[in-house]
Amino acid sequence: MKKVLLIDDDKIFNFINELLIKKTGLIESIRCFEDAEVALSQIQELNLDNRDQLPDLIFLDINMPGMDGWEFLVEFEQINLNGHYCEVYMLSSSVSPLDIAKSRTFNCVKDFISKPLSEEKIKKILLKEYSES
Amino acid sequence: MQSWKTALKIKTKSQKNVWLDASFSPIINKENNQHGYVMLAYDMTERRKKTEERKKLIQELLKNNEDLEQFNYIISHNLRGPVAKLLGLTEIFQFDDINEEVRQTIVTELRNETEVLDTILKDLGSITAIKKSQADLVAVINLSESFEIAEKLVKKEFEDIDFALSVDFNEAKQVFGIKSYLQSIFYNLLSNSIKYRNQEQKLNIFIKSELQKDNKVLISFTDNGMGIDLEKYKNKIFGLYKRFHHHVQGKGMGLYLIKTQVERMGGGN
Repeated sequence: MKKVLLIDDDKIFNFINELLIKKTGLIESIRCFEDAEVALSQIQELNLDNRDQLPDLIFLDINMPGMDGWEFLVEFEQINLNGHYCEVYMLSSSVSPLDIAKSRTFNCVKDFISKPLSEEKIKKILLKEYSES
Repeated sequence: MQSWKTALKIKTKSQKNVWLDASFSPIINKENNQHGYVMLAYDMTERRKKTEERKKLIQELLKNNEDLEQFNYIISHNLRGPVAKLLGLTEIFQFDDINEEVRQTIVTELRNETEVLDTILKDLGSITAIKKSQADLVAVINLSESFEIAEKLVKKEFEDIDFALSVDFNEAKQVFGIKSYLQSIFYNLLSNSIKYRNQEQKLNIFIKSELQKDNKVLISFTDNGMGIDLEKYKNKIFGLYKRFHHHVQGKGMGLYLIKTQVERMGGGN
């Protein structure tokens, strides 16, 4: 079962997405962050001390004050997860072709999703992972 | 021995500028030598004037169109966020395994987001009204009077603050414009000064009017507040819903409105 990380500066989106994801019953745990920098340092800590708690799936918002989605990805890809596989799905209220193209420059980004997430979209992602792993 | 055509700009005896479309044909004499020229000229002044006016009108229309497109884009972007939240909230509201507290939170947030949408639509209305208004009363406005009215509106916000206001409209006492816009501009500038002031200093505001060469009036408004990092945000300060200090409450409309109103009165360049 998957460990999920939600990174969105809007706590309402985190609130909604957390409930939607939990409802699928397909995950082991979920953590929400409103600050990408905090999420990043959490991941780095886990990578050192508690590797089996590392997330398998990250839903990442793009537009956030402070460190935004793109900046997070640059830092995230630099962390050596030593073989641990983690996928990122980008979320945005408005999706432009430029954003989609930019997301493709990051290896860990699997797809770009237009908000809102829905139970259906989430199930597809989680089940797709199952069949791949 | 050639004939040719050209456009000529001449000044008539009465010092008027006239554009001519002229063609010259040689006059040949019996010995087959060129004798002189016959010039046939059409007065193109009116035609030229109309072409210039048409060019100007097209430019204006194109700019208006660009403005509207940009405006459209901004608004639809800002609407997407709340709409996405409403969709998400209604989906989770239907879950049967959530407790009462969670359900209450959902209802509260549904309401909040609908109010946000409502506000955006109201903002849209007021901005479009400024951009479209044609029947606004353009008149001679006394700057001091206008400023006093705006000052009264922010009086309450000034009450608990240590401040000094220096107003100098001596060089240019009046301006030709739209009264309500000018008051709104003064009000927004004063309100911003208070909101974004440096809490550790006395708030100093300097307002001065100057007469410029092209007969325009320059009104400068300076304060010693938090300031905006112009290097970073130079191109965004007059944008709609753009904010630069997240710890202070505000929608990000003040400067956008001011810019729209100044431009509507023919200023800003």
